[in-house]
Amino acid sequence: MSEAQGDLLAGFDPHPCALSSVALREVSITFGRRYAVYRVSCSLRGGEVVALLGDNGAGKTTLLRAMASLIAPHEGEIRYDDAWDVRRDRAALRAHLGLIAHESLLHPELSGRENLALSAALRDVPTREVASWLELTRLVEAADRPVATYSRGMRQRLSVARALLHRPSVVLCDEPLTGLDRRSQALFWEVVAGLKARGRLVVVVTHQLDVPVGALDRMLLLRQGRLVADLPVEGSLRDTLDRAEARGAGGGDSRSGGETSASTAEVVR
Amino acid sequence: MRRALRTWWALVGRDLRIEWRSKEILYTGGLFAVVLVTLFLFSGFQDRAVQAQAAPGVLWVSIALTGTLVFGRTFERDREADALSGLLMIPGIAGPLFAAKLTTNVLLLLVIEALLVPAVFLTFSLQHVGSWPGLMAVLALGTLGFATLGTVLAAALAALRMREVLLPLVLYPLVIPLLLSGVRATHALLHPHADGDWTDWVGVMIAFNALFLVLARWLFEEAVDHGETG
Amino acid sequence: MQAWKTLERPAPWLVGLAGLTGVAVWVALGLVFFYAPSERTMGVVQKIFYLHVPSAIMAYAGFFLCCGASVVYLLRPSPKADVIARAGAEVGVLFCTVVLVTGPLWARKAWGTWWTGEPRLLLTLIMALIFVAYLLVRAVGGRREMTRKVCAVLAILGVADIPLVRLSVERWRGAHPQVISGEGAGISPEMQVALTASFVAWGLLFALFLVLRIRLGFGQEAVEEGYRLVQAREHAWEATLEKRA
Repeated sequence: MSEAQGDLLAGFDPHPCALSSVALREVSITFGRRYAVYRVSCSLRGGEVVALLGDNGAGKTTLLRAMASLIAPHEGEIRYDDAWDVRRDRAALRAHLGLIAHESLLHPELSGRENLALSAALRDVPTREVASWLELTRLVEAADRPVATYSRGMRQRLSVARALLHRPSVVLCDEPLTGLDRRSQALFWEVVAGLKARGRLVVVVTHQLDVPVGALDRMLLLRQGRLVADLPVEGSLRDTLDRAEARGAGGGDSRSGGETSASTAEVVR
Repeated sequence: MRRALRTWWALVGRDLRIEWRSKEILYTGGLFAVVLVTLFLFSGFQDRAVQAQAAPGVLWVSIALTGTLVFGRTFERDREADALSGLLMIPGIAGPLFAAKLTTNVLLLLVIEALLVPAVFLTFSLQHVGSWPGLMAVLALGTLGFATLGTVLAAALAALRMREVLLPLVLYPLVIPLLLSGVRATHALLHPHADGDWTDWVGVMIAFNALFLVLARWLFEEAVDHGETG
Repeated sequence: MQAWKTLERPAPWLVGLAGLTGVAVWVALGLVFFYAPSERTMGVVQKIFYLHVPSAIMAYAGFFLCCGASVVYLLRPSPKADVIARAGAEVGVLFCTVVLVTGPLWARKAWGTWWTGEPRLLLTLIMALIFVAYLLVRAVGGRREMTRKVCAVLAILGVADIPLVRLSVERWRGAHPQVISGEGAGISPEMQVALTASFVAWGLLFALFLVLRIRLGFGQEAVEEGYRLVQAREHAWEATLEKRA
């Protein structure tokens, strides 16, 4: 599998990374009377794998979608390479962004192959790559069945393929691991490692703390829309999170520690 | 430009392929049209002359009612699994997407009309038509104009609560000029010796289409990219 | 903060406007009932004309304002543009209702039919339907930014429709001389005066309603901002707590 992954992401090599950094400055996003994201500032570089953590409702998905240019920040700005603003230059940016969202972003009535072929056609990617992606994500037998018949894990794998088809420079993932078995999770992290080796920036929103050691470089913790911790990940993610919370980001609240372990209990065996 | 064309073609292919697999919209739309005409059959047009007068109105009202059924549903498909967000991540998708949705809506509605028009003719015992190409042209223009507004409004309302109810409420007043022209033109075509020239009305329909194709295309970009998945 | 001011006492100019409007309305009414002569055939009922015609103009003014503000909103989204658009729609619908009620009332008395089916009335009816639907979308959609965009689209389409509605309806009914507006049917100078006074009066009333509604809208936005401010202060407080920890 590693060979296939190496081979396939080799398709990324001839294409230099178009975006190498993103800067968020005092980004706030409001929904009516509520701040979903409040004054978040951070700076991310290509080649980093960043985990975006937080409780439900903390603003992770909103922030991720803002970075994907689907939601415009109401205050502050998000800029790629200090030049591309996420509000003004949406069209130019989107060519280089990949989104793996909570929903699969796929058409249930079409087969896996048709979905990928459509994305390839829409993004000017040669269709022969569809076959390679199907192999990589181990979906060859199911390729011609409607996506509606796929299991959750299969759908997630197909969305990974869909998101990476156009070789984006920045890959944004919203809870990509929910519903994946151990093997599929391992596959995901291998793909991420391949992306990282090629200088791509990967941001992963996750509740899963069972991440392979060394897969993540950085951890951002959101609480109620605010960025309360921005730490390099040393050791396991769980340790880093505990450290962040012990430092006062958790407000000395044992409840948040409890909630975190509860969500890891959801890890699919 | 070529790229936009290819994108449009890929999207139309997708919509039609999905529709062909289930044929949901065609079946329910077609049946709905037939049911409508049947209702009108029982609405008491006894006199032959009255029937001939009422037929154009019945035809166009039926097209309007069936149309909203079609337009709402083509967008529903994209909202499943948030496929729309995936599409929006493709740069420059708004123009081809609008054209593709419009094409799909027009084609589906025309297919249903192929059933509806004969049904009305049969029910109302209509005999002669002044000019068949004229009737085709009138139907085509009316369908196009109706679908133009229907597409942009369905996109706008896609993430709102009660969108199935809101779409007709919002769409019908706007298309009254088109509906009126269609009815009058059809009437003139059915009674070639009575009043007016149907080509006058075609002029109005063309003006409607010209204005709203441009406006709807511009507004579609705003309507569809609102960042919420509902 | 600027926005809070809308919740304070009304500015002197607003009080002045209200006063002026009050005066203008009484003056106009006085002129209409005591100065302008009764029309020969229709009698007192014809006086509805002094309400009907200016209301129609004001209704359209409201709708055009709504469309203009909507265009501004789409080009540069701001809550203020949206509030103005909504105010224009609401006041427009209000005056439209007046037109659609007074029209048939007058027609009934003057010509015996409730509905004359003349182009102008049909156009007003259609615009009323469009903008009532606009208000309905507002009611259903809530205060989200998406609803604002949808309504902006709707307003622009609605006003763009006007020439086409006129074109099609006039072709249908024939562009007859506007019976209800009574233009050119020989209005005496006294009637002119009363009519002008009515325009001024209803115009001021329109402006007053608009301003009040806009004030209300700005106030609502201020309240929303207030909630956000409270939340922001909480965040700032928590941040300082953490720094100390």
